[in-house]
Amino acid sequence: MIDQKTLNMFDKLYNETYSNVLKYVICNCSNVEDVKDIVQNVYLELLKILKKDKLFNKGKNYIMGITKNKVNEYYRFNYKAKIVSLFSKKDDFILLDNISDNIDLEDEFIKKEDLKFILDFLKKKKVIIFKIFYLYYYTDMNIKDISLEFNISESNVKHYLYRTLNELKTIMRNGDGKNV
Amino acid sequence: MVKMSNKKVIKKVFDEEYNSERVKQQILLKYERKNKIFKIMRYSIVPVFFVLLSFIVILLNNSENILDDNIISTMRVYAYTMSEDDNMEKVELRDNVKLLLSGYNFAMSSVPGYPIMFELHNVDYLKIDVTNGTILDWDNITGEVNNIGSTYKLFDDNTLYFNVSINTNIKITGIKNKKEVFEKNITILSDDSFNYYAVLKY
Repeated sequence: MIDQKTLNMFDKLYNETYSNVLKYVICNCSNVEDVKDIVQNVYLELLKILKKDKLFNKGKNYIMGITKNKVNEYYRFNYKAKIVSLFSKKDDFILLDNISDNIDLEDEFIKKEDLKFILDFLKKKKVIIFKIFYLYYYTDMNIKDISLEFNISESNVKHYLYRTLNELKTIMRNGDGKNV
Repeated sequence: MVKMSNKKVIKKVFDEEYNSERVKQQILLKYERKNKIFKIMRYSIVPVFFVLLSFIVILLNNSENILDDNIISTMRVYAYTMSEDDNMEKVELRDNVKLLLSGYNFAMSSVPGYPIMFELHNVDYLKIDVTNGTILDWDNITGEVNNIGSTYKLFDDNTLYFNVSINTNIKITGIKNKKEVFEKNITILSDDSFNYYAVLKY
């Protein structure tokens, strides 16, 4: 059993750091399916430390340090590729800056199972697409910062966003999606 | 620009997957589960150790038994016959070999019956059953003779004396770990001249 004091301290640190930890793990994982496992490992480690050290007074940086270690550890011990180079061939795709923005997913996806469908669709895409979607839509990072994070051009970021949204819309309209 | 509605939907997608509260509950649950397993392991290590130890001891004992069982249980039987120079000779009774027994009345007048010596090899005891005859116990110091009937359990190498007649059969059963491990029969035969023979058979 976890005592109340430890639990309170854990809650506080968790709430303060969760979004940063999640962001770091998503940006640095090589497979999005590993994200939850790694995040859990980070906080399990934190709980272990808190249980031993009742006077724990280290801050967010310390937890980010644990996160970094856990990401490395996860890929070291699970014999998985570490952090994959995302863009080895820059000419892999055609830049489509002028892609139509007439895409409205909300009209198509409203149910919970549809959200799962989108998630699975994104997970099946290149890992960079999932990461860009997460950073852009969930963490509100702008396209410029995303391009700097992954060391790619802004056009590439846009290209991934728009092309994937378009693909999603097409799939749903053509009846490949669950909801159609 | 991408419409806000898309943002809301995609945000919902990630919210569902990485919901902070849900992930926290999963972490706490995992922590409790890990702790429970650790506790079970900690408390069970001593009994498990003793069970393993007992198992090893039993295994070792069994291996000794197996080794022991693999040694063939047998016996040797000796009877007495007359040598060419008319001396009494102790001869091993072998399977299916007819052995002329020494004449009781002459050379063996000092003993109460036909002596047969038994040697035990890897058996707990020999169970001896006699038909058409009796077993005699003779104390060669006091000379006292006791008729011990037709059944006897022999636990050590020893000589038994048999009051025999024609077609006396001595059934010998080797017992090891309460199991019968062999059975042999000594049959006493006689010819027209009243010469007695002994034959050991399965």
